Amino acid sequence: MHDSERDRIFGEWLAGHKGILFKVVHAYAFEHADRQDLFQEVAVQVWRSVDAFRGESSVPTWMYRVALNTAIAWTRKEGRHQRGKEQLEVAEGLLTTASAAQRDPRVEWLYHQIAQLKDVDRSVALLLLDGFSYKEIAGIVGLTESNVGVKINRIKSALAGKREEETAL
Amino acid sequence: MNLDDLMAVWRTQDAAPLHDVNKTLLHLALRQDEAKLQKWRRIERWIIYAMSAGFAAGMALFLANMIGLMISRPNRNGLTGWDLALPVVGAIAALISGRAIYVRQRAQALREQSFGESLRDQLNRRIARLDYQATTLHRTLILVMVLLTGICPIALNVALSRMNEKSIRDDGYLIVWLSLMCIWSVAASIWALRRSVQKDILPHKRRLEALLKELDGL
Repeated sequence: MHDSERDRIFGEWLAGHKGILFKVVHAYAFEHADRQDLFQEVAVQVWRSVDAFRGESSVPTWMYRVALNTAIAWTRKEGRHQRGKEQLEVAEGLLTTASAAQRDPRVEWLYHQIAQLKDVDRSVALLLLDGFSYKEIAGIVGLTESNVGVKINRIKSALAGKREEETAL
Repeated sequence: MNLDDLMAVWRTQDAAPLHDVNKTLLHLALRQDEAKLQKWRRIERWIIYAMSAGFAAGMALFLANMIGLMISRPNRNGLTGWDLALPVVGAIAALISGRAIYVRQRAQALREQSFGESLRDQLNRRIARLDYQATTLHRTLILVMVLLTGICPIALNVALSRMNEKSIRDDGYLIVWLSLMCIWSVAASIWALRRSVQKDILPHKRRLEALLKELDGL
């Protein structure tokens, strides 16, 4: 595929579903610099994956798959490792964050709870909250549907428990 | 608050995202990343080709010189069959090891492509890549290249001594120094490779294996 064609498709994906990338980055990186770094890494992987997209799943499912795969194996150190130990040249200002006043505290609370989960459970939680079915989650993560069900029950219990705890206080 | 409520809260982000992206900078970053990746792949490929070709060419020149010497001074060249065998074996070894590295890289690329796209497959793909980097055979092939590079100056020195009709014993110290340099370069290569495996590859692999376990753990 020619680069300009890939750019066009990537541009369309980004315009329609950039929220997926933001959610994944926000759930897996917690400092501003790390978020810039991870966003660049995720964007690069999604851009490269355009060639491999065969339309067997929807674009949001594909983007989630690539973004989660990248994020879950990501650390700043690993990012350097993959590029021959070279410091990533992250473009400053690539990613901007909404000010505290613009952010919904309930969404912040959800991210805080998701951050307490293990890496894989975090992926399952993001997919669950975005309305993916058990079957779709199983396909993205590489688990059986029943295993996804077990993980989701645990995540639901953990979220409900936290909410009750905080309400009681 | 049940799951539907949580999902409703979650979806408020779609209308008011927590982030935004500078598209111009992103476009530049993608171009830069692709250019770097291509550059590193090209360099890696050409190093293998250049090392093999350079060594084979050196050995061919060496052989041609000796054959020339045998023709010009048939009775006084002091050469034996071993002198001819050395460059031939060296050139063949260089070509075989270069080819073996290339074939192995191709096989590894095909193996990595055989994995699917799920998270589990991605983790297995990364682990396979790290295994490849750490594998003994890969290290051995690199070692062979280093050894050959070390053998080359020693062989040349021996050949020059013979061509000048000097006793090798007279220049023995040179061979000792060259041998020591060869041993040092091999030892330094082994140390650097081991350090790289211990410091970078194994911790990375352990983290990925832990993620796989986490995926299986219910």
